[in-house]
Amino acid sequence: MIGPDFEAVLAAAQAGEDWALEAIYRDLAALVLGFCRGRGAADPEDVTGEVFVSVIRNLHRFKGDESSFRSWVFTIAHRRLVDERRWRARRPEDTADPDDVAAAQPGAGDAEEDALARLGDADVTRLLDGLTDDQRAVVVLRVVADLPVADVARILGKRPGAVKTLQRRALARLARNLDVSGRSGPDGQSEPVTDEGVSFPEPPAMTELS
Amino acid sequence: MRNPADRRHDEIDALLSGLDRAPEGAELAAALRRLRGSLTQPPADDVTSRHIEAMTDAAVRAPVMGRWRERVAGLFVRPEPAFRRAPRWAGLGILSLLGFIGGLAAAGALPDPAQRIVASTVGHVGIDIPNPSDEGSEHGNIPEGTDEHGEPPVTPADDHSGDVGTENNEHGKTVASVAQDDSLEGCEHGMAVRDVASSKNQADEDAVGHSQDHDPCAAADAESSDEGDEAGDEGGDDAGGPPASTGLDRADDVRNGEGPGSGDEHGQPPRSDPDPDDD
Repeated sequence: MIGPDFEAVLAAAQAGEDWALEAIYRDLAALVLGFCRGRGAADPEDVTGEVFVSVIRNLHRFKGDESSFRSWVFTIAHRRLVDERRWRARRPEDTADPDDVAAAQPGAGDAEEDALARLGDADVTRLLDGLTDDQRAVVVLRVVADLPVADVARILGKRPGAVKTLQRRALARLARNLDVSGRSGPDGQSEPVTDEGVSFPEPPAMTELS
Repeated sequence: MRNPADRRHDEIDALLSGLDRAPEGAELAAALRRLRGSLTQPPADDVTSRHIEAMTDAAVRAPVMGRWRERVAGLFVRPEPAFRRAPRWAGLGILSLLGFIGGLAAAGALPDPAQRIVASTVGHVGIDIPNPSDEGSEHGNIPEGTDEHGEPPVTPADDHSGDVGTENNEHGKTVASVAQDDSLEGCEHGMAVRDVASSKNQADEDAVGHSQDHDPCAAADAESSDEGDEAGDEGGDDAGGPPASTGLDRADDVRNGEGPGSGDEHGQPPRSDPDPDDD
């Protein structure tokens, strides 16, 4: 979150100031990239780049606070993903495997840690595989983008009640998937899924949902 | 593990935010935190540089491209479908027609039946426009040429039918002919004119009865023969003026077109003219 300086940053970005554009990118790039990864984009980084270019092109029309801005950015990201899927549907040979997507993520640099991270990320990403597309979208927007139900409903074009139902069913499905995959680790031994044991960066601080 | 479907909404929010530390949800919350951490790894430096460069280029082109996009979009704005414009045009046409008819009605230029309908309709809402029915009672029965001769406005008492007007004209002519007759003189001439003039309605009959009770000719004879105070005491007030001249004056009034009137106005001497001899 940019915080109290958001208005100044937004005004500078609308004026084309490089520092403001970079501030916006560094604030939201990881979340947009995570959203694209979680939604199963074939090339999340390309989609992320297109999302930010589209944001800059339409930045002069935006008016609102930071939470509205984040919701607006993820609306653009959602539409880009829909376009990307349509394009991919016409070229099915370009479909990417989720393992490849997870493997494309940058590691910490050390080969052993990278291997652990890839395995862990692949396992976690597979948790989403059992979800329907709508459930997956809701979970990713709620978990990764940290958006409230109302904003998720607006982005997906659904009613808030429908979003709540989707997230409830998605969590039930995730819990079942976790019971199956969590009990059998990569080495075949049963182990609970915890925060420890797999190396990945500390997630950004999450705000309390209203 | 407790089924998330059984959780309250705030518990689900906490779970999705990774804040649920309860034992039954800890495992799922930890998985979601791992999911978030896994997915939100920042892009590599070279990717970041490439993206920021593309953003800068877009920012440079954005104002120009934005203007061009708006212009091009303006060229291809689809006109509004005709079926959406039709109700608007129909409403406008109806309003114009109503306004036109209202203007004609206010000017009294509509045909009589339509004018009557419109007048009665808008009369309910307090708008007063000419009604042919009312106009007929006000103007239709005025004898022609009345205004050209400078006559006073017709009052309801003068409002007669066409037959009555013709009859009045005939009556006036008769009275005028009697008044111009030279065969009679003095009191008899006046009495004759009075009788003819007052022979038309009941009021005239009353006047005739009254005049018969007080015969001005008899009073004039008695006065002229100077037969004593008895005759003067009986008819002093009624025979105060010269009868002949009074009758002629009234006959002149009739000849001038004043029309029929009461008996007092035709041949009767002025009652308010007491005879100085009575004193």
